[in-house]
Amino acid sequence: VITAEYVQEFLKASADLDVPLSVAEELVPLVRGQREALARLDRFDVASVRPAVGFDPRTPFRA
Amino acid sequence: MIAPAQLDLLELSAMELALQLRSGALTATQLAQAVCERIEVTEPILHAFISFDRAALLEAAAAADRHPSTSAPALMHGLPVAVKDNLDVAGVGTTAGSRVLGHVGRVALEDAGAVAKMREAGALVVGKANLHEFAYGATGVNLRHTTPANPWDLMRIPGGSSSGSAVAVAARQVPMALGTDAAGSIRMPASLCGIVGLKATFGRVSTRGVVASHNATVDHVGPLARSVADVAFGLQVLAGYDPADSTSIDEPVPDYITALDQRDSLRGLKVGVTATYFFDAVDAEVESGVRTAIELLGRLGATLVSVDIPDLQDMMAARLAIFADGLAFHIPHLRAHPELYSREIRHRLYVDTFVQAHDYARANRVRRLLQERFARVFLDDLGVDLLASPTTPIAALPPDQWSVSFGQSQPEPVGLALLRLTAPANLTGLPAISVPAGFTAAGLPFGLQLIARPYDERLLLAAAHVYEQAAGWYKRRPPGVGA
Repeated sequence: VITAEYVQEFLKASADLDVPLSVAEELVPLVRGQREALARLDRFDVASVRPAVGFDPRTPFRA
Repeated sequence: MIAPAQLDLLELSAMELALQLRSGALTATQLAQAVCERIEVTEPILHAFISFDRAALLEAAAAADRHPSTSAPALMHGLPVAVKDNLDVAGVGTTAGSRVLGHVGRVALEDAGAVAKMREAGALVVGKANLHEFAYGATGVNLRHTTPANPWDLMRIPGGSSSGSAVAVAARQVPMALGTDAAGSIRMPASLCGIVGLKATFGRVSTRGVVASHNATVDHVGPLARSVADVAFGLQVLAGYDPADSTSIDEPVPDYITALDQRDSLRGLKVGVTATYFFDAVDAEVESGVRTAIELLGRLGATLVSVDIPDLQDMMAARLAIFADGLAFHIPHLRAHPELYSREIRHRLYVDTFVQAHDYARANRVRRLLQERFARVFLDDLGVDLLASPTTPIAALPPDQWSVSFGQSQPEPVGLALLRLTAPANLTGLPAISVPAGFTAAGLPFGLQLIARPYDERLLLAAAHVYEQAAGWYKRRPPGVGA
């Protein structure tokens, strides 16, 4: 469950960012929206897919 | 007020001006003076620039006039160009539209790769163009400086993030500007300001010296101008391998300018139009106008083909994780001086912090799937040469409108709606252009986006040029600043 307290603690623990609880409250719906959006990626089976790092747009166009 | 003769001069295209400069029919000083006067008259209304140094421009122009090339003049000899203020210009502070970089007093030690290319070709840097703070937004609203006004309606947003670049070109302050594009930031303001914006294939133009990029694998540098011919001219100068840029690709540079003369129709081309995504949630006037534009592509000889790129909507969520890469730049500044960020950008960066390693890894793999699905449309039986879509699903809105609805759909933040149709070309790295495609009843422009195969900019530009000349929308002039 994403709460203001969780947002505040996460930002402090993960990035040493201090935000007041009032700001954390404003962030709650935004963080929820981000998690919901990123969850849309879960449906893709990427276990054997090579990541697009070292990216070259020509790669799939080569035989 | 600016003299009519000087305004006429600024109505000339970048290529026409360059031709006159090279031939000696026009001096760099004459043109620079016209640009200075135009900027000084219009800038209090437009706010297209973060910094503009009249004396420095006139000095550079005088130097160009004193020292003409010993052999043939350089391609852009004496041509004034605006540079988006997230691109380094040696000796000048780069703010990226933020107070953060101004606070640390960062002054560029060398030109960005693209700026260096322009200067090697003889172009003169007019000033640093305004932008959405840290190029992290699509509206062009900048609460840390000022928001540039859209020349077609001064009470509307210009689009972003290359807002100042687009406004300066549309309002005839400069004939050409440089922008950056990580999710559509060249093409979106081009669409909303009624000009042409080009994002070439990833790696085609150096991105060295782009400050605070969200992710080096989606960012591009490119030209904005008033015609396809002028962005082809810009690309001719900008394109090329930059060994100092790890994302630059060593590929021969063809002649983009002559490509425009090789077609007078679109015969033999297949243009793909997606049944979903690119037309799913688009303002009715914009959709109607862009469908009319696509019909014109057909009348010009193109074969129109319905195509499908499955799962595009879900795949585009990868962008959210990929943009979190920018935190590597921002976290130290956010810790030290969060108050220097606008609330909008500060909140966005806080939310980015919640992207986790597995999100980032998955996003980069989904991005590969997305790349392959686009490739299939260009390669498989359908074998389209170009994809056509609206550039933006809306025309310019007032700056205090934060969401937009399409039919029965839920309200969508304006910033997300604006980049929805341009961002796929950033995740795939494919070359894409926005060309004026019509006007709403309120007189607001919108663009047609064309996307091509990697390194097929010659075809992209040639097709866009054929459309542009037939449609004629590029000839309209904005009323907002007396142009």
